[in-house]
Amino acid sequence: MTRSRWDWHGWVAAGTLLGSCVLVPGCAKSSATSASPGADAAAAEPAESKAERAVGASSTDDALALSQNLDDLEAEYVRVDAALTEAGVTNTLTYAPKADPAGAPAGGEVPKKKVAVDVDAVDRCERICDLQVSICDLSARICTLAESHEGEERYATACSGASARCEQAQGACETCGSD
Amino acid sequence: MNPRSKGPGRSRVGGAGLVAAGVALGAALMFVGLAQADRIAPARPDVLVALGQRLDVEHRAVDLRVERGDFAGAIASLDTLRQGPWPESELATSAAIQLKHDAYGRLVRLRMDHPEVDGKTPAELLAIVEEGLGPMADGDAEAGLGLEDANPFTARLWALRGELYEAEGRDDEALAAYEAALQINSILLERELGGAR
Repeated sequence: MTRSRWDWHGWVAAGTLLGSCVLVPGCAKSSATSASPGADAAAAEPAESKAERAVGASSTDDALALSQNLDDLEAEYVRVDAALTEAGVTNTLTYAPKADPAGAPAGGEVPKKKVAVDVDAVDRCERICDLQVSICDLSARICTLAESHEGEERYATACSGASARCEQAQGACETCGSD
Repeated sequence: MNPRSKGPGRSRVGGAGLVAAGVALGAALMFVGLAQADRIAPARPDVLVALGQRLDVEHRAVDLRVERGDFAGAIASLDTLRQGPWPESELATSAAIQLKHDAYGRLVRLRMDHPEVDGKTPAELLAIVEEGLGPMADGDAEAGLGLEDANPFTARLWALRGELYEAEGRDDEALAAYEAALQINSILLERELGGAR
């Protein structure tokens, strides 16, 4: 009797709604970790509560091993941070690798802008010019290699391609800000 | 025949079955929607935050040691960091991979610049770079990384690999590694230029 009032699309609609609701708490992205690993760690919750609501914490060996190591990580963190504080270094906790898209000259040091830097405030032209330095350094290395492989097509092509990219990057750096 | 009448087949597919189908459909739709909105959380956000914190602290500790000329201490610190733990398999999100490449790149750079500290051969340093690159060491940068995940830390690791190959006299491999680094940096540049206003 009751069932006659519930035709099939009523059941499917109810199920769809239920299915949607089931996923929501599991997928809500933590603001402390969204997109960038540079999220302000000071704003993060204590590890215990995060672990409790860790989404999709599978029962893989990786997850277990990492979970067991979290306490070690935190202990290490406290130890190093205390030493740094003692040495007069303030704890800004704003590690943000994505703030440094420029990289470094070839395999050189990545520019150190990672501490206390607002990602949005990093000048775009500076990033472009840092990239130009990296690209042109790589181009120089490739062309140096090509010099010792004279007559080899692959090296010659690589050198001319890299040089073109270097020139493009130089142009972008020089004209940045005027466009 | 009345199509709404309950036949034998219809009775087997009860309300529970329809609800289950609906749940699956709703879950799938919600998942797709959240994924498109970039709202899927990392599998272990706590791990990522812990890694980021530790790397930040280690970088500053290394900065201090380098300033004091304690290169051995700086290298030892990064070597400890290198030993992990690092997320593997499904936990190795692109952010975690960047953190790893950052640490490995700085370690290898320091070791190359200060061979007087526990000197390693280029082959040994290459092994460290390949350990850092993980599965992508076997493929090209684009295939291993993808356009979306291009970052300066992976580019630096590829460039270091090129330098080490070159030091070993393996020019063909050095060229490939330099080209991979160049490709990543070019993607980053295009991304910046694409964002021009």
